[in-house]
Amino acid sequence: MAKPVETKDTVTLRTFCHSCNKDIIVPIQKVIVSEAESYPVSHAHLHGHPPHVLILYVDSDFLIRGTELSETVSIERQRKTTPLSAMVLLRVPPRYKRTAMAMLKLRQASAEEIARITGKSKNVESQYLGAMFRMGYLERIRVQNFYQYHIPGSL
Amino acid sequence: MTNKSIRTWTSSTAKNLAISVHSFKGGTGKTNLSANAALALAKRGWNVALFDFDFRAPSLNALFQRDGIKYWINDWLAGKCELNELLIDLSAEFQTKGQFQVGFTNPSSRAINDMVQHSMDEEWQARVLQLVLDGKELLFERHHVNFQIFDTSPGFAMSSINAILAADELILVIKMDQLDIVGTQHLIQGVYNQVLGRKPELIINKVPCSMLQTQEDYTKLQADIGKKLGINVIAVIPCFCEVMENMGQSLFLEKNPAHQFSQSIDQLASHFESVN
Repeated sequence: MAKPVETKDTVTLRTFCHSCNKDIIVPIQKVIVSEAESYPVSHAHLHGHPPHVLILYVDSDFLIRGTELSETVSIERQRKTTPLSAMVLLRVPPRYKRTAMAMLKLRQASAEEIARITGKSKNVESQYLGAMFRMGYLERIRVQNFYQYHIPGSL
Repeated sequence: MTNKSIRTWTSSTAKNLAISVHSFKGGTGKTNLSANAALALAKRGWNVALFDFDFRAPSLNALFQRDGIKYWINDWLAGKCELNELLIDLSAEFQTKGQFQVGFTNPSSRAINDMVQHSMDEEWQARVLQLVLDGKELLFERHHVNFQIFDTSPGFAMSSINAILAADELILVIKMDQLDIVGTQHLIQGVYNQVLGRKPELIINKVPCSMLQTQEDYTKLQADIGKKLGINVIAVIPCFCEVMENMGQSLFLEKNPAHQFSQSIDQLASHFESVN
């Protein structure tokens, strides 16, 4: 495994994706790993055309301990989606703003990952992300037992 | 799952601060303050990137008197160039210790019209916000920029909101004008407090010298306006004829480093250095 590249807030991991048949780069926010309660941390990375998910199991030193590929994913989206913009941030209820900003920073994330950025609980972020999904500001896929959210058009 | 001791990741000691300079009304001196503060920071050895985010009335180009610009911020937002391609390095020209880079916005009427047309397009705005957020990270992490300063459009322009959303330090500039003070009050309550949930800091600029006869006058004005608007006032800068006479033709700090205005700019740079 290649060594991770570290910057101020993120660590960039490189791993091989058998579906893409090439090395891919997966940026991960430090806080997501450094503040995890147990290891390895599972981090789902949605990418490629057609979209597929590579789940990375990352230890506390940001080394990838294993990967799992999910080649068929079905993206859930509302009939009308609206990309996250300043206009959207001006009109969504204030309680969603930190969640929206964290989504803009990560582009794709689970409720647990967003919770580590915002400092709110996973359950609260799960509700907020679900609400923003229903409003058409986010799309999502089901990975194992959780939802991975992403910004429409970000793939 | 294995429980392992959590590794403590030490944050980089490098200074990283994105600053938006905004106002309710035009003519408060945002561009002059932004450009001079950027220069002051670069002279102190910091790497600084200054952006003209006033798409309705771009003016940094006139202030720096640049010709033959290959790429504008407009080109970057339209996907025609990379962020590092549009930044022009002026470090040698201004003999700064740190890098002094400036991103200019195209002041032609056609380019301004294009940007105004785009301002109501949600998809365009979403892309711009993502570009600004990604660009901020890129400059901090890969290009070792310490300070990014966004000189924005006055009022509720979307381009300004994008810069404010990306910024870590929010600066509002007002002048001593009742219309501006009341408008700024609405801007703080309606946008900064309710929508963004963040508190800006205030610079009171172009204060008539007759209002600032003694040090007590400065302190009283700072306290009064700060209380009225409910925010911290970080600088009170008098209106100087010499700055007016400069007519925005050059960076005042460069030619008049000992002037009181330049000293105010220097204090502003110290304030930005002290922000965590």
